[in-house]
Amino acid sequence: MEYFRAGIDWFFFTYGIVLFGIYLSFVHLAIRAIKKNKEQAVFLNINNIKGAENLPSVSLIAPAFNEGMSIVTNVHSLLSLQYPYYELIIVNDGSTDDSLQKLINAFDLVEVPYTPKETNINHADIIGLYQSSDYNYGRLTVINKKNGGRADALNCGIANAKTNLVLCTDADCIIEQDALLKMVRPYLEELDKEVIACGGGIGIANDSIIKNGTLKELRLPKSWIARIQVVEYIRAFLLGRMAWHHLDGLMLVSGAFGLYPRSRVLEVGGFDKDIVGEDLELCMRLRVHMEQQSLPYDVVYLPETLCWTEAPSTAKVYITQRDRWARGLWETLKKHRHLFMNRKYGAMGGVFFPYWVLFEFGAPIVEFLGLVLITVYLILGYINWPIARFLYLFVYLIGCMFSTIAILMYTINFRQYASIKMVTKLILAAFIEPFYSHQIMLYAEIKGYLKKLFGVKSTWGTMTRKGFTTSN
Amino acid sequence: MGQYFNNSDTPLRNSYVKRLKAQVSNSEGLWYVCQQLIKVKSIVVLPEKDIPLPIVSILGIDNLLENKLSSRNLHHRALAIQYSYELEITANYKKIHEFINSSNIFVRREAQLAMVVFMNWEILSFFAKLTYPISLWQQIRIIEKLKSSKKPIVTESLKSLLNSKNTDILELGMRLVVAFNVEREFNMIKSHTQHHNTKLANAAFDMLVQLNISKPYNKEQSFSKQTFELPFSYVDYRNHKKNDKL
Repeated sequence: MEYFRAGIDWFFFTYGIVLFGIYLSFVHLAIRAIKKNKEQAVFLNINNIKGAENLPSVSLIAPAFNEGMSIVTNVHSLLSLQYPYYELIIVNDGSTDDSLQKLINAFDLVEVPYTPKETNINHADIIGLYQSSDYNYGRLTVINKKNGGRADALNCGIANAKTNLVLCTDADCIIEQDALLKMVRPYLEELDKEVIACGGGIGIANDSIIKNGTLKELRLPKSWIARIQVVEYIRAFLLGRMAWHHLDGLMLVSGAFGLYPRSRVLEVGGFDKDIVGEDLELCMRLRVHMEQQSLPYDVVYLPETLCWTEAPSTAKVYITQRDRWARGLWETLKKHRHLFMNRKYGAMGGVFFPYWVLFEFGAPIVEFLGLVLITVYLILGYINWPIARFLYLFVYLIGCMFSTIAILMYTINFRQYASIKMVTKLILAAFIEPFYSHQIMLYAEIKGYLKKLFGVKSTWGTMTRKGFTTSN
Repeated sequence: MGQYFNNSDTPLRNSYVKRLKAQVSNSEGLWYVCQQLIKVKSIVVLPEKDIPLPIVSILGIDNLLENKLSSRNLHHRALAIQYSYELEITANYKKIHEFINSSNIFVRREAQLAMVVFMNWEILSFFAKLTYPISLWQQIRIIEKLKSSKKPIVTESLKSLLNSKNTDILELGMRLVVAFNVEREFNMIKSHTQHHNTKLANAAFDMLVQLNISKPYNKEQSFSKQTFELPFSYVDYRNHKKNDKL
């Protein structure tokens, strides 16, 4: 029994130490990656890109489902991006509200003949294809299709795009005006490695001021749960993704803002409609595809916030979102389980995929088991209180330290949330996180895993949104 | 502006020069002043006597950039090359020439671009011999620099690119054909739409679209499963190429 207890204790201790080591190396790698990114940007100024010829063409694909309240403003915003060669494809995914009619009225859309395309991407039937009779909206195409979900709508847009690159986003996202100019940079600079996916930073714009579809004034969300997510996003995007990008091990490009070469997406068959975490799955599948062909490739992440979205502001919606993310992770890892420690896939099989299994997927399970163990030890009186108190304080402060470093790195490098008041509020949120939203997230993740374990059927779930604060 | 700076008798001018000299004495200040001079150069068209070059010499930027060319910091070296060619400091030409095959991508790229600025079409024969890839951005910049030089096309240099086995260099050659409207080479672009390298084939097709050569084709034609890896418009082009009348 003693040996068993010691074994369990050492397992949790070792897991914690390894995780701490990983996060510490993330900080170091992220700093190097940000520095490198800044240096590269000096030689590829966006003003030079703006005026250049021969740039790759981009299709911006934005699925919309019942977005009637904001669709016209958002489309106006998406049509005003700074990039010379792009088209905008809005895929109306069987909305039951007046989204389509609003688009028809606002942009003088007329139905144009549509010939079904024979691609290896399947999607729900298209009802109609619309283009504007107004020359000013020549970039816009609206596809009206039967409902099939987000992945299905994106697939439909990709199949009907006519460009070199496709940028997958959401119709309710606020995209920075120069985002495309920045996003194509890795494609312009690629040499011996083909860029198969490029992601940009995503920020939270709850309670910020939106004017004419652009972010006018960035404010911190009033709700604590949304504010803590600001910290969470900064930490995940700036430390995790930048570090993985630096190691050539980035496995995820966010679904809300990801740019892909259309030809490669078509080759792998587009997004998987049966997986709720379709963005992670596509990125992994693209990597597997390139590995199988022994082609050099790169997945790039740009640290600047280029896309703003609305985060869940209530515990209920937050749980729905994280439950879905947990299920998506489960499904994706299960689908690609053959990668685990598979030498054929090099570092992807030996390091990157196992990291996802052990730490992204495994961390909530280990944490949950830790809580169960503490409860059992409490009952049995096994807890050494002075050591337990020290360990708890140590782990808590380490977690807060990583969040604080991420916040400061973000503020210094990108000048967002730059006022002292905002930084203080964010750091405060980082210190509150372990007592508040982290427990809710753990509950949601375990709930998602249990649903998958016991085969409970579940869908995307309803993401109730409050909508952005708009100003005229 | 240059004339104003050339007049050394003005006390105000002397005070400005003193302040600017202090600013360019540190790296960040030097890069900042160079950027501002490039901006002015790209926006304001000045008579020959007023071009920023005198300012460059008065502030000693040419010497500072020359020193930076020997910097151990490769990022600084690449920046010094970039600012040297953007500010047309031809005195640094020889030193920059040493870096055209540098192992550092930024130093190499900027040095090669500098050579395009200083030597124009003549340098293209060097590119024709390259065995390593060059980025699309470098191709775009080379074309921009050749366009802005307003020098007549050197056919042999262009031909050497078009005969290169390096697909990136071949792509650069095709882009130059389009940019300078070299009609006699259009057929060559058309033939490369069949190239085994998909990237090059796609680029060739995009260029034909740019030249409006593929206009008669209906872009809404069906998409072939066998060639799904190619852009829709390219497949469309291949499906209809038999009817093509250039």
